[in-house]
Amino acid sequence: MKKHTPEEIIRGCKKQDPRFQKALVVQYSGLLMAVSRRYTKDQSSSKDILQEALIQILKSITNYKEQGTFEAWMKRIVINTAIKYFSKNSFRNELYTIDDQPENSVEPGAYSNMAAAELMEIINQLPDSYRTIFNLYAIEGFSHKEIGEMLGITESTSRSQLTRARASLKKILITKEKIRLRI
Amino acid sequence: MNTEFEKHAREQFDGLEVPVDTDALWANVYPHVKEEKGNRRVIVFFLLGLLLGLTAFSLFNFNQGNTISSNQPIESTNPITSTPVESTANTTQTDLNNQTATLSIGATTNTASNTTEVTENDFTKVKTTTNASDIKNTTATTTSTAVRTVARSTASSTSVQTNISKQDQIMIKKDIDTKTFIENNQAAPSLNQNEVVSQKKTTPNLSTNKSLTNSLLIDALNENISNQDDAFSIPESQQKNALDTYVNNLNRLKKATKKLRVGLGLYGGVSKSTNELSSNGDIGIPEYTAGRNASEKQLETVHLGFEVSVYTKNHLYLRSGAEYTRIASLYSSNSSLTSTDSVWDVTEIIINTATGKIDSIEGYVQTTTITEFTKKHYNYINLIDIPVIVGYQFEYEPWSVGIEGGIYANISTKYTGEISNTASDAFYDLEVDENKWFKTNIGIQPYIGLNAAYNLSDNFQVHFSPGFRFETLFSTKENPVKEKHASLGIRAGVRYIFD
Repeated sequence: MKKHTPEEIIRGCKKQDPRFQKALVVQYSGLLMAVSRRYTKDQSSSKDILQEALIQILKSITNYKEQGTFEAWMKRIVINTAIKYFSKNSFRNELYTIDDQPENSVEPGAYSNMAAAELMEIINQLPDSYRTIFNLYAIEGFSHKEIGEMLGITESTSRSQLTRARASLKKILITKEKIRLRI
Repeated sequence: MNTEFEKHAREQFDGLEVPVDTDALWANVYPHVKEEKGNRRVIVFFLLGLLLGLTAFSLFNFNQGNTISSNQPIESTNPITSTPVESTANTTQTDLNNQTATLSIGATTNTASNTTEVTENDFTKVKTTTNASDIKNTTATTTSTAVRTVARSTASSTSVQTNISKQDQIMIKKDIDTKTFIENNQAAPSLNQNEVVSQKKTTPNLSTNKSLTNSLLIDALNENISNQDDAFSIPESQQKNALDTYVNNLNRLKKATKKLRVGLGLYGGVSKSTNELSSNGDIGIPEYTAGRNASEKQLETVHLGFEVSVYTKNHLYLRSGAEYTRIASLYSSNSSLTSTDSVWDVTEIIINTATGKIDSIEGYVQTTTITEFTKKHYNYINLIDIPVIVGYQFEYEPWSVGIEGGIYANISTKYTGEISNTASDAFYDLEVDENKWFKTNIGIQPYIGLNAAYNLSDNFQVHFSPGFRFETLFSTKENPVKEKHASLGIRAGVRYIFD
């Protein structure tokens, strides 16, 4: 299939031209799937989220005002779909306690060679709420205020969840490093 | 660690793509983004239009009807005069063609005259089977006057009771049994001088004035009575003519006062349409619309329809039915065809300057022929609409003229032909409409016009309706090019109005 420019795709999709709608799906599914995968533990859920997000994108593309990049706009829809996918309540009620804070720090060498797939695997070990907040803050760059609005939680909850997410990640990395050293 | 790890993760995730089975994904997504058919919207628009038309029609009627209490029984207290006579006399206040007519007709063997001066407050209600209207004069004279006798016809034809209460209230009740009247007169058409009862010459007292001269009944009676002045008997032919005129006028009056009349008709028409293209501002679209505006020409627009109309005695009418409209346009595109061919010819000439020998090398030589031509595309927009038109007409027998306005609710739109495509160099087939740019999305179109009708007979009429109709927004909101049509034309047809 011929590769179209984002402008062509936007214009075609605004006209609800099926050819351009399909082009959008073909050209951007991989990118959007990567976003979706970061927010879900399993591939099945990420596929569901991606499909729902694409429907939403194609239906609401007439509202796209071309402020910011098209990719960023689509990513935001994927993220919002993922958040909806998991009940907001889970962020309020999900309480994870960290038994013990890891004493040892993680050396940069423990992750510097990690590829995206491995990093995704590590992040996916986090509980849903931690993972979501970590992704939103550390990867997407949203502020705690924005995260709070998106998830329906307070800023302080967002902060504390992020702290816990980071601690959990540290623990996971240390464990992974220990296993690696043993091997 | 946090910052370093997160930075590394951001770098790794930036632009990351995960392989997806896009065909399967598209198969799941497409059914959800396919456009819904616009039929539901059209039906809603149609029902709204119909409701609007009917509401307007009802309101008009209701307002008019409030001034008339034609079917309400009228109670009168203590009637002091109730004079059933062999003869009849009646008094009618009627609003015919917007003129108030006061009419006294009748016959008696005796001369009898009751004149009662009444004031506005004295009028309570007027009941008449033919018509009744507001009584606006501050004073009025109700006259019951003996005029003359046509013996066979009078007794059963009309009877009038004039009751005046002690409180100076007046009830005028009139009950004209037109049918009986006609039957009686038709049964005895040959009145001769002997049969006509000679009588004491009585000055006819028809309460007419200048404003009443258009009254049909008065015309007939005046003619009748003027002939009577010369002799107390009326010649047979005049009697018959007067009677015929009277019967005809009564029939017309009956029609004019009938509450509702229904008509059916067929019509056709032709209009001149304009087409206004505008761009939604997307890149390249303004240039595209400019190109189409320059090369597209609107041709004739034709209309065919059948109508069902309902007429009220208040000169209002509601017209509906179905109308087919075809808007034609011509789109001309200039194209060029480049054909390349090869012919066996000299491809190279070699001149040996030393020896002067000339050699030639032959081979296939490519020739290019460019043919330019203009292709004409005849495009048609086929519409089926349901008009809901409300009108008001003034009657000047045998003509009636009026104004009308309403809506056309579109129920079907079909395009045929092709236009150049905004998305590619190829032509866009309007009938296939791959991108759904031209699905039905018209809704309601306003219409305003005039109406003139000529009565060929009591029931048949031909009519002409010059009108202006806006056919707006044929294309969908997704279409980058908006089309607005407007047509000015005339419709003409025949109509049968049932009694």
